[in-house]
Formats: sequence, structure tokens, C-alpha cells
Amino acid sequence: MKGLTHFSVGAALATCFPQAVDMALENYSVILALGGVFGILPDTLDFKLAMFLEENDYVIDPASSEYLKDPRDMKTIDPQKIADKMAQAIDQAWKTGKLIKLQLHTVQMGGDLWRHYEVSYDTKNNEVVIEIGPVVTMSQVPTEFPGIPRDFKERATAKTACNILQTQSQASRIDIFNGPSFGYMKKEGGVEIIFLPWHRQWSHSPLAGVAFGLLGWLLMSGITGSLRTGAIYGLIIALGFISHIICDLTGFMGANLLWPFRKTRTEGFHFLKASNPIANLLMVYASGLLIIWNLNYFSPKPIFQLYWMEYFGFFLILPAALLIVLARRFAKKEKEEASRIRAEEEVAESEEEFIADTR
Amino acid sequence: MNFLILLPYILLGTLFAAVISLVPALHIFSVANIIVFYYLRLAGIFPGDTFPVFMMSMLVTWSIINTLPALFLGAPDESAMFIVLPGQKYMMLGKGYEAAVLSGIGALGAIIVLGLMTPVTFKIFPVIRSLLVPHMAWILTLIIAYILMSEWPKATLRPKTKLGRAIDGWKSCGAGILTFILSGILGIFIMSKPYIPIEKAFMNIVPAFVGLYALPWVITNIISKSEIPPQYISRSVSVDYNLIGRGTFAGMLGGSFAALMPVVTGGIGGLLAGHATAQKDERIFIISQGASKTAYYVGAFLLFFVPYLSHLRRGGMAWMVSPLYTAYGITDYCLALATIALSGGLGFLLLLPLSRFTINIITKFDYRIVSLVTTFIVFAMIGGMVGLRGIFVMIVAGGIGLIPVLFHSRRMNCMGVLLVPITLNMIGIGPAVVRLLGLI
Repeated sequence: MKGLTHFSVGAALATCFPQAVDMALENYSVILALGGVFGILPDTLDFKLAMFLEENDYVIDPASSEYLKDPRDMKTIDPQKIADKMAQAIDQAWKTGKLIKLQLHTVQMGGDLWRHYEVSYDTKNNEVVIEIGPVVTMSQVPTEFPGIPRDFKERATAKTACNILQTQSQASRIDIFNGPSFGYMKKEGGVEIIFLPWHRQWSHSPLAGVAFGLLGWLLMSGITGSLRTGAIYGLIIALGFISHIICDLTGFMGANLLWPFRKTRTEGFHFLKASNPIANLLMVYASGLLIIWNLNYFSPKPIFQLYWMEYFGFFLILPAALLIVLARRFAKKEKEEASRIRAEEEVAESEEEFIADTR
Repeated sequence: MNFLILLPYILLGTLFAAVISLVPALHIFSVANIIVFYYLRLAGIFPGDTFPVFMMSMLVTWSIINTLPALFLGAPDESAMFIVLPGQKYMMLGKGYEAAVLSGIGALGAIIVLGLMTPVTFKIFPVIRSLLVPHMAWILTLIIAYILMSEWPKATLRPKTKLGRAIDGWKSCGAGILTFILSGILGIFIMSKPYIPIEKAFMNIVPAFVGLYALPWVITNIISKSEIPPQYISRSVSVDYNLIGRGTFAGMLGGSFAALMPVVTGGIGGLLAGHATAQKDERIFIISQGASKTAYYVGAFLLFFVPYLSHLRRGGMAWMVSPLYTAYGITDYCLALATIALSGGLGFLLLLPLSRFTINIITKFDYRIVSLVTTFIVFAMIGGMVGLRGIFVMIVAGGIGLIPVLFHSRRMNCMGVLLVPITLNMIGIGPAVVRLLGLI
């Protein structure tokens, strides 16, 4: 899920503690904010720390002479050499049984120009597929470059000695800033492709959440002089952190639930994509509603009197149902429109071919 | 009051705002400040309800048309393209006119929704506000935490060592945190140590804002080597009701949150709405920014007319108008809504020719020269209104505002100037920090 979703869920869960709401109201305590902070912390740890600590077995820099057809001309990137090296890494994982990590770098062609390339894995033919594309600007728009036309495409494949198993079917597009990293892990029947092997590991384990909670408990007990108050801080911290992991499990990549006992991620439930706008919006909205409900419910002088079923039924279930219905309807329309355009293009192409044949 | 008497003031406000909207770096609140300053001296110019109507029509039109200088005056360096808004990306692709129209559509959408939201504004907003205002201390802390934690490093991962990679990656978000802290300290200084005469106290924060946001923009323009590409004036825009609905919804979400909550500005609201709705289509983003801006500026002032919110003063315009005018009952609210509808419609109609006019200007005059002239206007305005001390504060703030521009971090971190001192005061440690800094 998106960062704001984790953040709101963590904050909403914090408001479920009446003592914490009291502390926020009476003493201007920021205890409730801790729920949000620890709700987003797992990703912060990954993208601001773990990413930099990763050591890779293979580093592919397509602009280095090793991957160029002409070692003096960085326009001549050889996709075959990249594909071969990646296949070699996969084969090494298969032979040694060790986790092999590979980092791909971007290719900067000038102050603000980058070479676009794509990496994908063909699980049917057990091949690594590399496609070198045109030069793009920082806004990822293809642009003319001396010797590289805007529609440039060069493809190469390399066979691996084992089956490729992969959970993510999308191609990785590489151009601006940094490239992705992959982990290759021997499994029964082949080598599994692990996208961003440093992501959602120790930082996404429930044990880390419990550890942070315990630390918070000890620290705040010392500061406030009350074990009970410290325990509320600890609970809010742990709950915020663990809520992040639970939300992430709704997607595909999952999280490392058994760290430090296991080194691999447990796959998610495949309910939805982490970037799904409707799911993210609904989670943020539901969190906002829960915060308002709790602040009112635990207030010494509640401002509104509603039965919880009325409140959540009218303000959450109804709008959510309406939003989902509308989103599906629009998605269906978009799909129909796309297939209509495709059909029209196919007809136009056949007509052109027919005219060309008859001339 | 007879609507026919009000009509010329609506038209005048709309036309006046249309002109000032085209001046880069000139904020509507600065102009409103001057109008309020002269209001008492020119008594009789605004009879009856004409004053709030004039101010409202000005605000509405400015919120729609002021997108133009932001869009066309200043070609971002390509290396900054990743951090500039899609509107400027459109401009660099020669589609600035389309971006202006999309933003205007968002603003129109927001105006329609503001009208439709009347029952919510009357019944639900007062409840939400009464519930949340006592909790502002932790809510503001939460917003600060999100602003700082949600900016991800722009790392290349090329350095060989772990430390090298971390330093490389942390450059941009470290600069963001530094900007937030420095602007926060500046905010504490300004708010705890008044530097201008008491009669001009309402302009205390203006030089800092101009320095943090406008000055870095014009300086970057002056030294920029990028050229504005030829702009294509399309006869239609590629957008449907689905995209308009999604963009307006996202913009309204952020804009109304910002309009309702103290200290939260339109930019913060826009950030939260953008993240909450996770819209990928750049057209939706541009529409949402147009909607968010109008929802924030106009929505906040509209709350001043809501009888059930005890004439809430949210936003600069409500603060400036409140000593001179008090809204009574539902009639004044309806009058405000009618003004918004009329000036909003006119503002959108004016946006189209004014976009073409701006494109014409930028093809004839170098935007660097326009930016240079703007810099002189900014200095003259701050010098004239606040004096030399104001110019000093503006230059200091300008230095802080340049950090995110140079390190490609979020400019929103400059909001520390308001968020830090207010949050510190709300959680009760403001005086201690002021003492620590030796200010009292």
C-alpha cells in the first residue's frame, strides 16, 4: 500500500486507546502521532537505510566497456552481453544453491538524458530478455539523440540452464535515477526471481514491531514514571508497525514474517496491487472515519450521538459501495474503448496491407 | 442588497484579479492587504455588501488564472523535471495551453462541488472541526512527520561503499529536512521577535513567504539556460468526465481538508490528496491541482459566510475582511455562492484568451527578463510595505528557499516556517524553545 495509507491506518489504530486520546486532549501529548510514524516506518527503514546496505554479487553497468559493442562508444550497448551476464547469475544460483544478488545501473547519456532499457524473464522459454530502447529525458519522454533514433529498439535473449520461476510478470523499465536489483534463489524445480531482495525483509517482520514496542515501553515508562502509560506507548508503536505488515500482505510481494528465522518473504494474498488507487483511498478514508469516531466516542463531551452501525453504514459502507460500482463501470468502459480502438487499428492495418498487395 | 448593485463589483473584482493574476510572484493576499489598507481611507467606494463580494470575486478569479505565470514563466532545467509538477512537464512538451485548460476545468469542478457541498458544509464540517481542533497538537505533529518521512531518497546506488551510497541517496531528503529545520527556526524568530511596527504586524510573515517561495523561483528562472519550447494551442483537450470527476474529487479532498484545518495550507492538502488517491494519469494530477487550489482559497473564505461555523476565519482573506465585515445568516452565504459561481465562470472564460496572451508574451519576451522585472517588483513591494527589515527577512528566507531547488527536494519543506512554531506552541514547548534560542 502507499505510504499515506500505512500512515493513516497506524494513526487510526492509535486512537482506539481511550487513555491515549485522553492524553492527547488533556496534556497535548503527541502519543497518537506515534501510530502514524511507526505505521510508515518499515518502508522508511527500507528506502532510507536497507537499500544502501545491500551488497550485490553482480553489478551490471551497461555503460561500462564490458557491455558495449564498441568499448569507446557508450551508444553501442550490447543487450546480448547484459542478457548473458544475467543468465550467468541465474545459473550460478542454480548450481551453488546460494542466493545471488544482481544490481542493474542506469545509463546517463548527458546532464539530463538517460538510456531506456527493459528487463524481463520469459518463464516459458527460460530466457532473460533485454530490450535496449531510445534516449529519454528526465520526464521519461523519448527524444532524438545523435545516432539513436526516437523509436530505437534492440532485443536480445539468453537461455538459462534451469527453469525460471517468478512471481512478478511485469517487465522492469530502467531509465532515470537508479536501477532495480534482483535476487536469484534456488527452489524446487528452478530459480526464483526475487524483485528488490532488500525490500520487506527484517524491516517488515512482526518481531521487529514487537522489539520497537518493547523499546518504546521501556523508554516511555522511564520518562513518564508509569509502567502503564509506557505500555500504552509501546502498544501503539507495535500496533502501528505491525499494521503496515498486515496491509502489505494484501498485495503480491508479501513480507518476511518469520525473520530472523527465515530469510525469504512470505508471499502476499494477491487481493490487490499496492498501488490500487481505490483501495488506498478507501483505506485512508476509513482511517479518517475511525479517527473521528474514536475522538468523539472517547471525548468527555461527545459532539454527535450515532449508533456505530449507522455511522459506519452511512459514511463508509454506502460511499465505498458507490465508489467501487462507479470504478468498475468506468474500468469496463475504458476496456471497451481500448479494444474498440485496437479493432479499428487492426482493420486499418489490414486495409493498408490489402491496398499494398493489390498495387 | 440588490444583485444589480453587486454585479459591477463582481465584474470589477474579476477583471482586476485577471490582470494581477498574470504578474508572477504577486500573491492575492498581498494585493488584498493593500486594498484593506486603503479601504478605510477610501470609505464610500464599497457600499454595503459590495466589499466582501469584490474580495470574493477577486479570490476566485485569481485561484483560476494565477496558474498561468507558474506554468509558462520559467522553463525548469531538465534535471529538475522529475520534481516539477506535470503542468510544467506539459509546458516543456509544448502543451502548456492544454495544462492551463485542464487546471481551469479542475477549478470549475471545485466551484460546482463547493456549491453542492452546502449541506455538508452546514452540517458535517462544524462537527468535524469541533472534534479535531482540540486535537490539533498531535494532528500537526502527524502532518510534519508525514512531510518529512514520505520524501524518498533519489539515489543512484553507484558508489562502491555502503556509506558512499547512503550519502549519495540522502543528499536530497537530507536537504529537505535541513530546509524544514531552517525555515522552522526562521518562523520561530519571526513569530517571537516582531521586527516590524505594530500597525503592520499583519504583514509579519509576508516577506518570509515571498522569500521562501517566490524569490527562489525568479532567481532560478534568471539563471536558467532552458528555452521555452513553442506552444501548441489545441482546439480541444483530451479529457472525459471520468478523468474530470477523479481529478476534481482528489483536489477537493485535499483542498477542503486544508480549508477546514488550521495551519494546513493548500500545498499540504494537495500532497495528502495526491498520495491518498494515488492517481497516475498526469491529466488527473493537473485537474486535481486546479481543483485543490480553488477549494483551498475559495473554500476557506466561503467558511467565513457559514452561519453554523460562527464566521470562521480560515485563510488570509477571511482574516483581512473580518474586521470590516460580518456575514449574517443564510442570505449572505447564498450571495457568496452566487459570486463564486459568476466570477468562476467568467474567470474560466478569461483563462482561455489570457493563456493565449501569455503564450504570445513568452514568445516575444525572454522569460528571464520577465523574471528580472518580477524580482524588482518583489523587492519594491516588500520594501514599500514592510521596509528594509522586511527585505532582509526576505533575502534570508530566499537563501533557505534555494536549498530544495539546488538539491531537488520538496519545496513544501519550507512550510516549516509556519508548522514548526505553531506546533511547538500547541504541544506546550514553544516558550522553552524560544528561551533556548535566546529570543526572550
